[in-house]
Amino acid sequence: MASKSVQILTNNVWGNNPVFVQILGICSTLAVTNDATNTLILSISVTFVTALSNFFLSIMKNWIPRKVRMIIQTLVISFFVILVDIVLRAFLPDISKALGPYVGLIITNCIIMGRAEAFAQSNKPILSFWDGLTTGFGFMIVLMTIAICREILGFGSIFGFRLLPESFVPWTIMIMAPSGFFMLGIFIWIARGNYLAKTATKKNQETKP
Amino acid sequence: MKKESKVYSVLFTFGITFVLVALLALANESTKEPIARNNELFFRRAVLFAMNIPYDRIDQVFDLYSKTVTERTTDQGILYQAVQDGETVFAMKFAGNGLWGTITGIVAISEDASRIVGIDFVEQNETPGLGGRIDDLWFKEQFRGEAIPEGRITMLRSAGRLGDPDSDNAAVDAVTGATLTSESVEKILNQYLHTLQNLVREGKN
Repeated sequence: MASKSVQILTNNVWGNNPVFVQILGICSTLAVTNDATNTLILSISVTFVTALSNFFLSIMKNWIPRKVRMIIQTLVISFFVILVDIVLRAFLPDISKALGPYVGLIITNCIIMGRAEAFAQSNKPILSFWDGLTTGFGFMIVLMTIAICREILGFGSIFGFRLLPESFVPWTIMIMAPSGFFMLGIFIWIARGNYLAKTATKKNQETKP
Repeated sequence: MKKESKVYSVLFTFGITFVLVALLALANESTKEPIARNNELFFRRAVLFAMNIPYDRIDQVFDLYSKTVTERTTDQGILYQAVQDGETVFAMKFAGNGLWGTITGIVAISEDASRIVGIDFVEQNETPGLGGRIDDLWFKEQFRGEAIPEGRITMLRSAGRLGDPDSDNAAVDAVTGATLTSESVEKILNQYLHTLQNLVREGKN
């Protein structure tokens, strides 16, 4: 079990990362990553929803009829998303205000349903919870890297604190949607190039007598 | 009952829906009070900010508001007034269509209706990080003391800076990358500035 959870961790955070390997959850990657604070809160919310919906769907998996399983998955996921929305509005009103419609749109993040289908359906609750949590981390790492680059270059600040001197001319393109594509593309290029190169050398060594 | 039978599937789906909706209703009901309080806090904070009434801590907002701000109902809506540094300040709630949803906020003008005292937003659903930046301090601060001889302001596009320092040109910088939101704010504000100016001038005669 311990080795399996470590394997899940490395798989979800790197080897089979939801964003740059599976290319899922791209909409939010492009949309929110121009501000590090918003990105952090959003990825924490996504992690929370993925972990808990995975956990509960795994508990229920033996009673869910196959024909309606997607309906049930959607129901459980939207339940947690609405819960996050209510909690943010009641206890973190300023963040809820800043994120606005994006909280509700967590429902449309394909990573969550992807994990419910691919993992929670055939694994034990605790392991499914762990899978959801680590997938969320994998999502968070990519988003935060992109968000930090975009905020520094687009606003000259990080988490709202001024980092670069006043004389720095902000790159307006970095806060607009197109730079989300560029940054994600560059990230995928670097990450995959590195990853593929590694697996390639591994294979080479294996085939050598 | 068989797990894959139609009756079971329907009953199961209904059951789950019922339980989840009940739980959400419960969560909604139990957080009603803090949410209502937060909304009231947002509103009062916006009025105080627009009127440029300073406070140290967020928990002073409720008391300070009750002490300083008086509300008067007119046929154009509620007029808020307060005396700040010996001058009366008038404020009004504004609301209008933004890019994605309704933008509501408070705009305050001086006693002689010649300058904006300040603006603040109560609710907006603009794109976070783009149009949502109308709620940033630099954007709102540039309205402070802005002269409005013709009862309107203009949004300066592609100014490439954060905030127009000139408070006599009846113009402020738009948010870069959020032209449509900036235009909406301009339109809504001009409409309400006109009403508010008329109300204040009428009140004097």
